[in-house]
Amino acid sequence: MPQVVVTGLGTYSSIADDYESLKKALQSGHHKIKPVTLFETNSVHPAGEINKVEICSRFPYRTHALSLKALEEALERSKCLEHIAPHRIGLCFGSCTLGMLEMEETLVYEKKISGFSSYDALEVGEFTEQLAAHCKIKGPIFSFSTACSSSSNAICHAFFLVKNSICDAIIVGSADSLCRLTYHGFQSLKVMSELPCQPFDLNRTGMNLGEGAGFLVLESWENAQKRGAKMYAELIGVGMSADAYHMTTPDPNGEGAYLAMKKALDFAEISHEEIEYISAHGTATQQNDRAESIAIDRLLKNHSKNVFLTATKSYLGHTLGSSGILAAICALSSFSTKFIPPTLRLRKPDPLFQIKHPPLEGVSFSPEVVLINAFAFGGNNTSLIFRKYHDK
Amino acid sequence: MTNSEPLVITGMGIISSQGSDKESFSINCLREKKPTICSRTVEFFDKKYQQKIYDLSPFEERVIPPRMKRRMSQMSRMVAVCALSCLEDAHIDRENLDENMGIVIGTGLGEHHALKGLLSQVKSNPSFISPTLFHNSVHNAPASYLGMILGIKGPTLTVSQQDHTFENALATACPLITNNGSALVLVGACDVFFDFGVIDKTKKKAAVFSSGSYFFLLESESNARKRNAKSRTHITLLPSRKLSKGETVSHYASEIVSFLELKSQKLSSIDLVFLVGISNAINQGIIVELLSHLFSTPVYVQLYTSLHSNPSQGGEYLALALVLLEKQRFICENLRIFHKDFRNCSIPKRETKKILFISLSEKCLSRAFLMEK
Repeated sequence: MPQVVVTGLGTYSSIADDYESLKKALQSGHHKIKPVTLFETNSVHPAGEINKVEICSRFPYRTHALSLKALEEALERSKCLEHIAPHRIGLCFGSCTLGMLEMEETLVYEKKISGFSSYDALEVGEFTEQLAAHCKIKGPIFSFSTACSSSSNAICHAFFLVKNSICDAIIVGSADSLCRLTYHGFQSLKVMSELPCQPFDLNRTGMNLGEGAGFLVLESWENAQKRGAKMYAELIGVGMSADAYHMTTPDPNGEGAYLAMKKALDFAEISHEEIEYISAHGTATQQNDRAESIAIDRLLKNHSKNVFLTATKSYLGHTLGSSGILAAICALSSFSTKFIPPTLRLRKPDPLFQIKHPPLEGVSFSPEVVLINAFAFGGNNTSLIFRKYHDK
Repeated sequence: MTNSEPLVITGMGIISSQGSDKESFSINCLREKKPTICSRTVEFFDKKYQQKIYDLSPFEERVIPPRMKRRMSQMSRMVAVCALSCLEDAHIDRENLDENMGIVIGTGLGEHHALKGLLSQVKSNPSFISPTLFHNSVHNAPASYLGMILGIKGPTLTVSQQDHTFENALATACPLITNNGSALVLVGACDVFFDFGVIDKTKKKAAVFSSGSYFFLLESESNARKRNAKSRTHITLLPSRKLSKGETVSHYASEIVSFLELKSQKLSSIDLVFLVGISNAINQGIIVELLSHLFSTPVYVQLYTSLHSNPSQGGEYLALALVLLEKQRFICENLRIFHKDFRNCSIPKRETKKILFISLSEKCLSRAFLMEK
């Protein structure tokens, strides 16, 4: 089966307009978890909001605008559209909030938005088709909506499509914008923090929301090699599991999280001792971080104390469906920066777990193999393993 | 399981306006006259076509734990009932399920009843949003509830793709078996009736969809053989792509031919083309061109369009194709003989063993499967 490599990436979030600025933000410990300005609220819970998003008039949704920006960067870096036949390129997209912000504005606050359709606003497939039309690709398209693991599941399917030679390249991405429904919805679950979050800290008080978009171009190594594409990393393993436990609370024993990571390791045919860095789901809720830590300790055994872990939600907030792909892009940046960013504000790590947290200033280290977790409502767990690409 | 091992469907569950079980579904589908070509406007979806399904009893009581049922939406309950009837049809023992079994559910619009409730709470009092309504509003709520009922820990995915929602769910399910080590995958689709006029007062006419759920059990041929399961059909996923008239169609046809050759299959052995999604003149032109490129000899074509449209209707189409294979009966009004030169011709009657299933979305995306008895 073909090797699957990353030949393009693009990102847009509260801390960075693109991949280069993301690398800088991670190295400088920059975050923008601040009070929400996108809509009026009496709540004090801060979020990672993007300033001044340019909305396209034809398809007037913030989620779509975030997608386009990250997509353009990934395409520019990959140049896949110039070199690969349109029918050999597919698109996998994952999202959960879609046009909810605009839905709220038009239907609840009676604001007029030209081009708004309540049907389109709820239809992830329509968002994907708009992006495919923008790229002028003619290969298969898929849309995933599995809440906070949407983008990671889209990556898994994209991986299979390239592995099975159904496509030469897949553009895979995700975007989710802030909206009132998720902002107040997570408050109803009593999992939001009134302060910038502290994942894995003993005194963590909950999560912050965020918004953003991330895109990758996955391609077969043979194809990328033939056309002389830059290869950022190799995707070597994916694992998906379910907790079968509760709609919002993770299995306290971390069984589902463990299974997803274990399956990804098995797929990659590597030992747990080869994992050097983990980009955790790390929402900063008591239950999530505890369950994830238990699962990681179980997976890595004594090796756990050698593995660095970062929770990127301390920079971006929880970007819901796009959190998996954004965590992956942050982790891939360590291949080139040779720098492991710290989990911001993690001052007192929970002593129950062995995981090695980088110091607050970060650490110079060049990982070879990274593992990325994304977990979601309903106990939906997905893990991805990337390896640093070395020219052959 | 190797990447090239054939996949089979061994179970089917149906809850639809065409029938709440396999038998009534097949009787109703084969009895009704279906429009062959149908261009749909919003007006088409008038109230008289709406189909709500309220009554899921007594099966529901048997399969859903009461505490969980209280929290579940109608859509989640419909998914659970339909999926579990599919497992029963496949003679799968729920007590000894493979923990790595996968679930892939397609839904066009997801849980919009929950969203409607949440939107009104956002407006009236955002500080008191219902947590149950909130977690029930995500697209993957039905798949998650089903996973909890079955106690399985395999991949649990939810996909959506407009009028190809079910077709994409099926395409997503295949690599879970071939690449991901799941022995069984429950693949299905569900959408529930929803009047958009309820949330969107700007709409002059509300789009009304029907309710329905369709589930199939997908597994490798070797797994089916191992557990002595009856295979309803082999199913092979064919290349998919967006089509436009002219060059793309001929390329696509060659791609299908090459793919079939790789699988040691020939177009001449196809007994019936099952054609769905021909909703406008552009699609009609494209499909005629595609068939002209594919078939040099006459071939039977069964046209089908559901009257009770919803984004998951692909599940209904596959269920009907299975009924045709099994019962060897057809909807005669819409059975055609296609010949590229449009000559009058006849084809000797033979048993239908192989079906080429082609679904064309409104935006000319083609999804195709080869079904073999």
